[in-house]
Amino acid sequence: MNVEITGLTRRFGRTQAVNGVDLRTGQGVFGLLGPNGAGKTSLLRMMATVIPPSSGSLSLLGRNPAEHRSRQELRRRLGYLPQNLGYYPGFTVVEFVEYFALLKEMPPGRVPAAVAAAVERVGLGDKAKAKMRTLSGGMLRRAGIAQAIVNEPELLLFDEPTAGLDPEQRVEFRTLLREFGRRATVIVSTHLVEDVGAACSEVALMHEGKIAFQGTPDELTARGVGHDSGDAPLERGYSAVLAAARA
Amino acid sequence: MSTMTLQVRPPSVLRLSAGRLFRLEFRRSPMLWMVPLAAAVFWLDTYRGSMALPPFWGSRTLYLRQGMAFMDFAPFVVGAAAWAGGRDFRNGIAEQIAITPLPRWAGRLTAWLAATCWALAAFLGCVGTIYGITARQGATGTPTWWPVLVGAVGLAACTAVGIAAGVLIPSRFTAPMAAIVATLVLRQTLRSGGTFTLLSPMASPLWSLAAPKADAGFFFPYLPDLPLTQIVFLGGLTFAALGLLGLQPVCGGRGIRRAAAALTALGLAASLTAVGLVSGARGTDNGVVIPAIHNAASDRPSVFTPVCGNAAIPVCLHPGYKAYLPNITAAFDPLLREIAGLPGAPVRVTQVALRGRFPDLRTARVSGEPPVLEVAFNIGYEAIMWSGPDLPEPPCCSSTALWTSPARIADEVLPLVAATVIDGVIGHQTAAQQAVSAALLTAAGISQSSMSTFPDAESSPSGVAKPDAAAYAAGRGLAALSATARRAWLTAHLAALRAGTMSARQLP
Repeated sequence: MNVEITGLTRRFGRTQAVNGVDLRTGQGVFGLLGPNGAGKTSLLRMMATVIPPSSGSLSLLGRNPAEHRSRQELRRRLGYLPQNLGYYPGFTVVEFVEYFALLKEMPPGRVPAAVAAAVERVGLGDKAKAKMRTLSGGMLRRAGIAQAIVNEPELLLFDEPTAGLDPEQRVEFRTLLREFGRRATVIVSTHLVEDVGAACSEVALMHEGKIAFQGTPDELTARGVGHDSGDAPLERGYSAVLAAARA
Repeated sequence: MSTMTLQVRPPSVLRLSAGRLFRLEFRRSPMLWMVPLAAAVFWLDTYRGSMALPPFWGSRTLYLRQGMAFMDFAPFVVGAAAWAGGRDFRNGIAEQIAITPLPRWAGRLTAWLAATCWALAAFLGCVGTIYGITARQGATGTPTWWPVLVGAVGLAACTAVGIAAGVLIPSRFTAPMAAIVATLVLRQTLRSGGTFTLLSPMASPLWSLAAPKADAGFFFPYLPDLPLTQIVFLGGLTFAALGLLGLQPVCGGRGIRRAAAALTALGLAASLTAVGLVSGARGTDNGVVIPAIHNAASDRPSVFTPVCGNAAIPVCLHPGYKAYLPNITAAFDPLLREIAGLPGAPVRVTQVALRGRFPDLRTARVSGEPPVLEVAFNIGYEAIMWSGPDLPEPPCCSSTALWTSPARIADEVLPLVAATVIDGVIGHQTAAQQAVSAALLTAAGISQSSMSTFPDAESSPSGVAKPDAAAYAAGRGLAALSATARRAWLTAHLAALRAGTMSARQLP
């Protein structure tokens, strides 16, 4: 298992963002669904070693991120796309991706090829030398994905990766996700259930900091049988699970 | 699956990564945008001011020694560095960077290095222009490098402090505030002139211990005491600020933060040492002496062979000033001709080093046997540098205009030394001596009105009194004689005149 989470909690003052989450997953694309404020981003940030958990245990790629040396090792093998991508406006796309490749301590000899490959994979080859400040929202998202994948990570964490992408780009991104899923553990936090249906082999639905459902997209779809809220079968499953959790 | 399994990275890999990271930071450093602005201010301020002065290392580096070039750059450098320091916060990228394995301290140090390289490249380029042009114009002697070194270390400190401000006070207003604060602090050190403000690269106002001298480096070596202390202080400040950049948890593991804390402590210790050193500073004619690091060898005069002009009495200057020898000789010659060869007349006029914090030509004196007239010429400073308490009125014009015109030297400079020159031959005690002095001055073209800049007997350092109106009236007849007749009369009556046994009525 690349991700093993047991009884994970995270508090922000009086707010319990994540409340006793247990999660285990290996290679493949794992979808993290849930309404706003469900705790998806907090869980993802803990997995990305941005914030430490308040309690519980977390093992990523067989390493304990609470230990400095393990955390450093883990970070070399990690790719993370935050919900709000930060970037230096004066950098070009290539420079931005190269910057992260260097921060991730990639062997310098491999950096130029890896950067070029990452930029091509997200379809920004023709914008490689464009300044970040000149990119559209969708292009920025793709640049963010490029920086996340440049080190060919073993654990990839995407927070709302398809936000701002047009339908064509979303289709391409799902293909990319499936491709990554064959080699690494990819965890995607999203509102868009169709992304999950198309790309994820496993899915968890969070509600009020807890995992309300964990299974395959087909199992989630099955939960929606007889439920009338939602246009697509997966959406009906999503709504049914949430309704049950709220009840 | 990824093949990256590096546990310990070899140094060559780290060097390569650092090189690539530096290249990125260098290319995108905000300092790049500040360089043209700083260069423009430098051109308006330091460059034009320096190039208006004669091509001597002493004068052309005057503005540098006063820290003006540093001041032109510092606010821009601090502001741009603070902008660079606050960029992670401003661009919302801190979280993404925080989870990368490279210690953030390394990234910040790279950003500092890139910004510093730009600042130094611009500063050294601008200063190098002044040095290059001065060298091409034939300035003799050795250029003074200490002010350049102090300025460079000062700018490195500014960059470090700026980045630290940007990192520790992340706000959009940090950069402009840092620039404003830097300007105010530096201006204050310039105004203050106190002992501890000597640590600032801008601490050389006329009234401070580090008052600049026109002939610095000519007669005595340039004293390195103060620049060395300033470098220790500014270098310490740099280390302390750079150490601060690595103290946050995000900057790396415990080892890295310990190293950062050690660097901060080392920097603070160095700066405090410099504060201790400067507390014992004392001003001397040759510059600021810091006793703890002073090398007595620096007090020994420089060895040089003076260049002398062909006049009735040779005028000899430091070879660095040889371009001015014909003008000074021409201006002095009419007066020197009047007394040349007479008993007590100087056999030579020799330029000596400027003495005191307010260089003053009135310190000219005749000494030795055979007598030599020693004069300190304040060549190379603008008129404003002459002004100070108890000094004569500023001269007519800029230093360049003054010292390149024999007529102006005769009008402005000669009267300040004329009475002293004659005094050794004639004396100034009796009415007859004063009348003869007045006659010789008049014959040399020095009117009573132009002698107004010569001090009264009470305030004259040499005790020599300038002739009064009565003396000029009494000496009118002698002055009206031909040069040959006047010389003949003087030769015949000099002994009586010097003995004080002659009355003014006995003059022609």
